[in-house]
Amino acid sequence: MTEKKFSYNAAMLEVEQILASLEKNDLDVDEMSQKVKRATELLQACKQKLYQVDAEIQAVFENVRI
Amino acid sequence: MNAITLLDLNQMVRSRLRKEFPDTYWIQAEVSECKENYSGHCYLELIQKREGSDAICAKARATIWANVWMGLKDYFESQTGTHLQSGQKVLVEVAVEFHELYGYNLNIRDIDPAYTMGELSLRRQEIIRQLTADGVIDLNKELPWPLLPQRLAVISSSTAAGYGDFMDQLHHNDFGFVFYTALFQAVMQGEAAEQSIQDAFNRILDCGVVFDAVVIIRGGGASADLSCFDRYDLCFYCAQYPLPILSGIGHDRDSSVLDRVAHTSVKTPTAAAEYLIDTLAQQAQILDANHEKLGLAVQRIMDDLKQQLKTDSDRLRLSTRECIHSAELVVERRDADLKNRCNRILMQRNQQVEMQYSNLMHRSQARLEQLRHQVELVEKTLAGFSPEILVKRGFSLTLQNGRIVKSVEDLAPGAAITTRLRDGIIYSTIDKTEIRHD
Repeated sequence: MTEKKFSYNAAMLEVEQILASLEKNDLDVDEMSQKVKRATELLQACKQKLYQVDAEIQAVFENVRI
Repeated sequence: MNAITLLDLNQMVRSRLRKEFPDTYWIQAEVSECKENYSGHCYLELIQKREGSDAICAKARATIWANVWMGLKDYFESQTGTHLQSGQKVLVEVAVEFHELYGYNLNIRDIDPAYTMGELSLRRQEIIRQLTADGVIDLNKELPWPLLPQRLAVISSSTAAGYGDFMDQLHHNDFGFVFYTALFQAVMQGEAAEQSIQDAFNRILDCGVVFDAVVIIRGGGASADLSCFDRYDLCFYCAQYPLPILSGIGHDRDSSVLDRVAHTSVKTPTAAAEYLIDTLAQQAQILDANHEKLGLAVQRIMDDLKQQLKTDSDRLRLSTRECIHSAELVVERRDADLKNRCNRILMQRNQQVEMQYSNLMHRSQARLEQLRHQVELVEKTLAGFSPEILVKRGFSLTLQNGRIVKSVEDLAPGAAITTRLRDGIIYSTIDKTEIRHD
C-alpha cells in the first residue's frame, strides 16, 4: 500500500478554509501570517503531487506484473 | 405411371420459383448461424421465433456471395459496431433461389444496418432496464471521481494501437503531469472478451496496489466488434466495481451498456487520456487560482491594515494638531489676559506713582516754601542781630584777638582790644577792669 500521510483532498480543504477566513478577514495579523505560510506550503505540496514523480509509488507500479 | 426424376422435379421447382418470385424481398429475420468461408462467401441460417417464445417457426439457409459481402461487411460493422453474428436481428434484401442440388436458399443482396442497430439498441435498453431494476445501474457513477486520478489500472490489449496512443498521450502531456499506470491485459473482442475483461478487473483488486481509477480502453477502428461491452454479466459486474471506471472503447455509434454503467465514458482511448489530463489540469487551475486568491487576500488585508494605520495616524496627527491648536489658543488667551492685567496693574501703579510723585512734589514744594519763609524770617530776625547791623545802629563791638568780648572777666589789664564803631575801629589797651554787680 502506498497511501502517503499527505492527503491532497484534506490539503485543498484546509486551503479553502484558510482562504475563507482570510476573505472574511477575521484573523489578527500574526495569525494571518501563520495561516498564509501554512496555505502556501499546502499549495506547494499539492503542486508537487501533480508534477513530481513520487519514487515510492513509481517503484510499486513498476513492480506490478500481471 | 409416369414418374419424373428428382432433378426434373427440382428443375421444375426452380423454374416455377423463379417465375413466382421474380423480385427481391426485404425480410426481417434472426441470424442463428453465420460463417464466412475461405473464399469470402458468407453462409447463414436465418430463423424466426414465435412471438414471446423461443420456438422456431421458420428457418431458411441464406448466402451472401463474396462479391456482395465485401461491400457490405465493413459498412455493416461500422454502422452497428458489431459483426454479423448469431442472435442478431437483421433486415435483409433477399432473392429466393432454388438449386437442384443444394435446395432452397435465400441470396442476400443487401442488409440494412439501421434495423440491426435498432434491435441492438433495444437489446441494450433491455439490459439497462434490467440493471436498473437490479438497482446497480448507477453504483459506479456514484463513486466519487478522484480529484487526482494519477494511479491508474489500465485494461487493454497491450498490442492495441489505442493503448499506445493512450499511454503516449497520458505520459507526454503538455502540462508535465505525473501519472502512474499498470496494464492489466485482456482480450478486447470476440467471444472470450467478456470473461477476459472480467478477469482483468478481478486481478486489479487482487494485486494489492491502491488505484485511483480503472481505465478500460480499446482502439482498432469503428468496425471492431464491441458487442462484448453490451453483455449483461460484465456490465452487472462493472456497475458494482469498487473503483470508478473510465471507458474509452472506441466507437462512433450509440454508447455501449458498459459506457452507461462506467463512472465516465468517452469515445476513444485518446479522449480518455485527455479526460484524465483535463482532470489534473482543472486541479492545477484551482491550485493556481487559490495561490492567486491567497496573494490577493493578503494584499487586500495588508492594504486594509495600511489604510487603517494611515487613518489612525492621520487622526492622531489631526487630533494632536487640534490639541496643540487649542492649547495654543488657551496660551494665547492667557497671554493676552496676562498682558492686559499687567498693563492694567502697571497703569494703575503708574498712576499711583505719578499721583504720589505729584503729591510729593506739591508737598515738598509747599514745605520748601514754608521753610524758605521760615529761613527768610529767621534771616530777617537774624539780620537785626548781626554785628554789622548793630554797629550801624550805633552800637559798638569789643573784640580781643578777633573774638567778641562778652564778659569783663575775659579781659585782664594790659590786654589789647579793638572796638568796632559805625565809622571805624578803636585800638586800645586795658588799664583796669571792674566787674559790676547789679
